Amino acid sequence: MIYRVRHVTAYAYERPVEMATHLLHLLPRPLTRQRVLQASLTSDPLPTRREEGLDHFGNPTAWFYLDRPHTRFSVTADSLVEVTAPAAMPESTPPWEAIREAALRDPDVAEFLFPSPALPPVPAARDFFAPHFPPRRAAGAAMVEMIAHFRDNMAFRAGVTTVSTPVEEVLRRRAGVCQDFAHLMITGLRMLGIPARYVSGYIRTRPPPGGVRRVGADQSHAWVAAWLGAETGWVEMDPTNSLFVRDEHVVLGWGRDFGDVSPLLGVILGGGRHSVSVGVDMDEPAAVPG
Amino acid sequence: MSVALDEMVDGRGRIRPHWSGLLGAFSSLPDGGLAERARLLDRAFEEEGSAGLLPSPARGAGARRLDPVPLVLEAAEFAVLAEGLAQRARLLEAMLADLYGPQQLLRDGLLPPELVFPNPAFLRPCRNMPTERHLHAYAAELIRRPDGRWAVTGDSVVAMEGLAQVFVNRTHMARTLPECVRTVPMRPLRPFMDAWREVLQRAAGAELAGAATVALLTPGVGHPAWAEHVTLARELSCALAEVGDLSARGGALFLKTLRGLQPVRVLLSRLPGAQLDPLELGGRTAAGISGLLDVIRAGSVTLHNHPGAGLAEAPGLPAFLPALCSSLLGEALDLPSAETLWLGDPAALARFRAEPEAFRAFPAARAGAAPGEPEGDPRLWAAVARPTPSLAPSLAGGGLEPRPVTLRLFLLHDDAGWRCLPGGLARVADKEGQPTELCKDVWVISEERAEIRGPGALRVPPLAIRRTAGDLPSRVADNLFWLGRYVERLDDSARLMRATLARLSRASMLPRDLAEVAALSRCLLDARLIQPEEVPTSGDDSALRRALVRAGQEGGRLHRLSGEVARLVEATRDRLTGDMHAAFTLPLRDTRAALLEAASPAALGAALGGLVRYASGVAGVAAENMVRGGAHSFLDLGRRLERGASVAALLGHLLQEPAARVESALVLALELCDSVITYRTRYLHVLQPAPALDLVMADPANPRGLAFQLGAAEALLAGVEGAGDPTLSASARRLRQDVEAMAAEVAGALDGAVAAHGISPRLLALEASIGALSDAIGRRYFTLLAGPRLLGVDTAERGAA
Repeated sequence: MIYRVRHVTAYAYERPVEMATHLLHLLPRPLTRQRVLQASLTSDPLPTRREEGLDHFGNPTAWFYLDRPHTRFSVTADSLVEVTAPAAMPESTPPWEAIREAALRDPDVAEFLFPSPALPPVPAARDFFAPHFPPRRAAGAAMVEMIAHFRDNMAFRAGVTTVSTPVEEVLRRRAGVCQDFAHLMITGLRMLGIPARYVSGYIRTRPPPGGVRRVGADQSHAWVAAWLGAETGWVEMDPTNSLFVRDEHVVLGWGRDFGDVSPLLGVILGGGRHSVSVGVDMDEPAAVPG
Repeated sequence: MSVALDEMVDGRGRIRPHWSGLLGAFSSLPDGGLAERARLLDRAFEEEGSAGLLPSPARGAGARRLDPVPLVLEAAEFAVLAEGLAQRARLLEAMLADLYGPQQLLRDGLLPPELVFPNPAFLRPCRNMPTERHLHAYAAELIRRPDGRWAVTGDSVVAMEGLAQVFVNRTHMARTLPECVRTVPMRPLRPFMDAWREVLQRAAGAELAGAATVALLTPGVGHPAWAEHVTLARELSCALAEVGDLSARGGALFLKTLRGLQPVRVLLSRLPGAQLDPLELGGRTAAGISGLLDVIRAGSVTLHNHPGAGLAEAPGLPAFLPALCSSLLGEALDLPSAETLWLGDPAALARFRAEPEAFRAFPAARAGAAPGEPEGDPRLWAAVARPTPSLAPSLAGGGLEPRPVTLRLFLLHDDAGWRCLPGGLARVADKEGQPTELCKDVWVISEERAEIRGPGALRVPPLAIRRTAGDLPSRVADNLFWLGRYVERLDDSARLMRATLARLSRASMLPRDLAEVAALSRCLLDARLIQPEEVPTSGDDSALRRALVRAGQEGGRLHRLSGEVARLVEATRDRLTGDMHAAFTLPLRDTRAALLEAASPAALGAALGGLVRYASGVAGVAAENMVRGGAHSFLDLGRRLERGASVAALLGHLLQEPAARVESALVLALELCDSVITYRTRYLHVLQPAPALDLVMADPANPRGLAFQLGAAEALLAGVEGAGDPTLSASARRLRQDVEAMAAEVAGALDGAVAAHGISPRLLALEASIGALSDAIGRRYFTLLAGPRLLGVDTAERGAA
């Protein structure tokens, strides 16, 4: 599938911002199953200094620095991405209890076993998923069951949680948005000894002919990747839609939790009160240029 | 438990040779002996305010003390320590380079991931950052074990506290025990500091010599190590900066000064790395220098130490150092650590469980955490054996008594390699082996009697002569300005209260007294020294009396004002010499205490007198000791504007009295403006509005009058403005002209009393105008920008799908 994604974030400030620094995770991450055909990132006003690079997790990252007064700031990310479905999960996966030991031997994986700044250990999160993990069950089978049942007693509801709502609260309310569900699942998996990371990106919400409309409000999306041993590697799951990721998701990047891959962070001096609007358009272009 | 080794006495009760010189010098001390010297040391610590140089574990008031008995180290023994610590520093450097790079140590299983990934000091944005070196300085805490070997009990690469204390201690020892310092051939400390300055200058680039290219970043005046940072910045001749003083723009780092932005090339950071850059190092606050990591990546500033270096302080790390040493350096670890168990290792866990009382457990990857009970995953815990430190003689009850000691040594990388300060900070330990507030100087015996090492050979081009102080950081100017204002406000408040108290204590109050008390009450109310319900009504002034006493008590206005003065004195400490600091601090401390204890009007009156004298003392010391321009300008400016506003308010309120009672208003005005004697000299006993108001308003020679304050403010502002925008000095001039016009109006009026009453609202408006001028000064010179705020953490900005 080929997608065009246009993501516009616009800030308006009550008073001039004297200086601003921004950290952007808005460019799609090139992957074996995701080819980035085009990607551009621009802002208005233009930054006085702009840097690009990869962060610790290997995600494309950009830094915009503005040191002239401005009362609005908008960033437009425009990209064209070709996504293919990942290989199906192998028939046999190791028992889930064995994964932790294997993960500790690989620092790139081990990192996602530990609590992270936004996700401290929450025993209730482990208990929430534990029924899917009886002794010696194959990790893959446990995942299939877990993801199939995730939405049974979780309601998608915007506005009841904020970016800093702790996982306990999400569990108590049994409601939230994609980020809450991803955080809940990551916390539970880590406590069971399974490395889990937070994936930031987009999902196609308009259904293909005859297909099901996916949940999402044409905005950023978040889901989970879990590591099931060296052979299987990382498996991506979307708790919000109770499915394994195939070719409807575009990946921007991943980290331990939202804080590592927040699409647009900033520190501003001045500005007074501010308002922000975010718009994401994701569609399948009829004709793909060049 | 094994028996602690004695530093001074060997196993057979004989004095070890390297202590004999010191003991000989002690025994020949004249009258009073060592105990007298200890008393002198305590007093010197108290008076020079260096009592706060070392954060005390107990945080008790005035708790830090210096034992007159130093810890003496043999030359050969020190050499072994210096070499062992240099190896350890090299090892930690190699480890940091790997963990912030390929992480081969984790892949090879030489270090468990638990020490790295959950560690808050592991800063992911520093991964693969081009870095020549992570460690430039290093401090180690040691004890000597019963077997005679020194062992490292702690590694410090972020705070490295205590270095400034070493220099202060040595100064005090030389002053208090000159006989001993002369007799014992010890190695000097200076060459280490010279080398350090040289390293910093070289790193900063010599072409910018003299500009603020090196800055020490301190958490600020509230931090326990503030005094240490002030001393260190002074010793190293670098600027002292807080995060708000620094800003990153266009890929470079700058210090905000009155003259504008000055480039900073080297930043000696005393802040935990995770607090340095709010944009990249996460966290939920905007505190820090946003964009700092960018300027480090751009290579325009070097941090000493690297922001991510804190990883080397992980409590569980020493368990792995022997293996890391042979793998990374191909050497055996020379200097052992205190026995450390990583509880993720089943054998270590079993050993800990068998003998838990011999250890203290810590979160393995969290430096500075308190010891606790291991809970949850044992892989996240480390246990460190309780040390049995050696004993060193310490003065107690007039004699020497062996007490456990810890030793802290400091190292510096001087481009050739690691060098160790030949001296250090010893501290008497408690029964847990933890350092207490009682510290000791450390004397390293020199083998050659004279160690000659000149200052750095670095060539610096001749400096351009400067007579301005444009490099004054904006924050410092701000603090000095408010110090000037608050000292003056204390003075004005004390004078007002004293005048009221004098009338209240008259045996029988005449109607005139009652009128004066009523007028004074209005001024007290305006100065927020009393509440509206405390204004006397129908002759009952008991509430007013109580209010005056309460103002000096805990939580009262005078108490809070004097507390604010004390805070600002601390905040400007790097601009004050030791003598000035003492003059700004000690009398204030006494007066605060006197105010708290003052129960009777007489005692209160005496304490208020103390405040008035304190304010004149500060003004006098500042006038005689501070170079004009820069720091002095702002201190004086603050005082002039505060006094101007205060006199304007005072006159405005007093003249509100009906014209018939103008006489009592004039009496009070002359008294509160300290102008009674001058008036009497000029006009004898005839009190009239025009001459009285001329004296306290328009006379340019009266240092307590309005015109004088505004004239002085105009001159000071013109000096600060230089050739720049003259708006502020012009405003001060206009205000002075207003005052002169008012006085002239009263002088030219047919009925002076009516005219005086008439200018009351204009005087109150003048007070507001002076406040506005003060705000304008603040906007132009101090608060350059609003505080930083974080974006992108609101609900609206996150992915909502």
